[in-house]
Amino acid sequence: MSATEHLHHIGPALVLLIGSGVVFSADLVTPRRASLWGLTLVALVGGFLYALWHATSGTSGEALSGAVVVDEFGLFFAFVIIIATFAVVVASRDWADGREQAAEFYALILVSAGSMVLLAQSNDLITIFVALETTSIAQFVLAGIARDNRGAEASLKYLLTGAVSAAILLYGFAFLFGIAGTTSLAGIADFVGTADEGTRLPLMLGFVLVAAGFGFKMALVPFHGWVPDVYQGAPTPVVSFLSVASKAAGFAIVLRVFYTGLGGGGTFISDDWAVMFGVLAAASMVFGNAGALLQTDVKRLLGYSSIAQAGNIGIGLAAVAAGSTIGPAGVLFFIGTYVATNLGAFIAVIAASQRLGSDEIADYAGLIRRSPLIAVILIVCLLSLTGIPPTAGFIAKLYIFNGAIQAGETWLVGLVAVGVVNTGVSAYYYLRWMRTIVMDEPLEAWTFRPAVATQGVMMAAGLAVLVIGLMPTPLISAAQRAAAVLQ
Amino acid sequence: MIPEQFGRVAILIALALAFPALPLLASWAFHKFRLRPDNPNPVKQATYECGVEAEGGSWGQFNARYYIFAIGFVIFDVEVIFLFPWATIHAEQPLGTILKAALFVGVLALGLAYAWRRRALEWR
Repeated sequence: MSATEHLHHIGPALVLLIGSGVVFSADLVTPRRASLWGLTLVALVGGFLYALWHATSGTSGEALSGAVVVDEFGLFFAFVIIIATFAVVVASRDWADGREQAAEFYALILVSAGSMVLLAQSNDLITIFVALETTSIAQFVLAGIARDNRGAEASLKYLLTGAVSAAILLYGFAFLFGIAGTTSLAGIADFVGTADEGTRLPLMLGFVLVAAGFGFKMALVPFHGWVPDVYQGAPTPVVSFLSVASKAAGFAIVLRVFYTGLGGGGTFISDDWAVMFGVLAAASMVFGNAGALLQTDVKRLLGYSSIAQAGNIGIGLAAVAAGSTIGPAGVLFFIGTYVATNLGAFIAVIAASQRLGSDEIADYAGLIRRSPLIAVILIVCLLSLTGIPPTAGFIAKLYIFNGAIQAGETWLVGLVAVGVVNTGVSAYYYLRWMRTIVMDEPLEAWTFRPAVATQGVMMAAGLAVLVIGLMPTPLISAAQRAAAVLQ
Repeated sequence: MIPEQFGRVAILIALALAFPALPLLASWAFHKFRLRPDNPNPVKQATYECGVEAEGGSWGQFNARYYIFAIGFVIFDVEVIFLFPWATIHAEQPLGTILKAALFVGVLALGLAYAWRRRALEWR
């Protein structure tokens, strides 16, 4: 394989990373903000087209000595991440162009997204770590990019938690490497397939530490401590990026490492990691929803809600480990719908908070009369987060719960019961917010509407939530194809 | 084999210890046997006899803006470490390695240009 072919295999990520360099350079020579925004979108479209080229030209297989692999799974996440980043960048134009750090915002978002695309297609512990750290470090800076006190606090907390998690993750990788003798996921899978019971304890030590390290990215309890503070303190566009793209990338890599490396169902170790994710999922749902009940700040509320949603995906991971055949596709489908839903909700919050000048739920009173479009999109997305038909969130929860029950373990059925009860709890705070939007008297009379481009992405996200809810088959089959390559 | 190699290291360590210790010891001995005059003054007692006069204790607070220069220094310091191994092999494959090194240095140069443009290099 020639050097060009190697580069071709990481093309989509490369386009985004080079785009970031171009945005930085453009900022040095031109003071125009609009061109930076345009260049960022061009880079994202370029990355999207490159991924599309991979998908249609049948590019597949390993490259760079097995460090990365081009497959349906990586492409699925490349599309999800690039589309989500595109929507975030479109919606944050007003916010970003008004500040001195516009170029840094755009360039760091591109670095972060490019590394996530690379992360989703990496096939080796070392590549995983490098890609994960590149995306994380860019996010640490993004969290503090507004240079206010809240942002600095958020950024520092995120940095410290992230640094500790990276160390724990690396310790776990060291155990996996030490026992399996290789950093390649395929090699670890081979080892796990033939290993005897004696290697069980060191393997468990390894994957528990790895799960702790990744748990920070996925925001699973008990690795969720940073979420509410960072969600509240960091600028809303950055938070929307963290809550969709970063979370999707986190679950992508967990699925690849655990499902490909440790194996679901068949191996002697799979029951262990099934129980581990089962416990993490139950804790995340309970603590996430309990925390969300008390919040009055929309960003904190969405932060706790994202912890609870991570718990839902955790049920899917436990089902995958227990050998459910529809489990992996369920996880991918849930992530796809979650990205669309949370994106819609966050873009609506970005648009609303700029005009309302506040993130308090009470200030959303009567939003439906002041800005009907934002209110309707927000309500659709909140319904989907709750899991009420005919939205995408309903199908996603159904799919995940179904996968868990299909695995045929009694305790997994219990976990699903916990999930159902928690859906009821979550309905309370989602519906309370909706009631404020629809029923309460507006605090002020003047109406507002977001920028045209923001309206566009907002409506696209809202429509996606409804269309997936009514017609889930295309996304389900994409998820199934992506999941099929993992084993 | 191993004692031989570490023996050399041991000799080096002994020499490294002796090099600063001997002058101090000699000075002390000359003083002890009254072979050298002993008339101290403030200038002579200063840590450095030339350059800027030391001021205050070393536990004082340093100006935080210095960190930008420190970061810049570390980046280019590390860059040199990466360029040393490159320098040893670039004669064998001239064009390819020069392009790669140029890419590497170019990215760092872009960072320097960025810092410059953002006035990070000015002392404010």
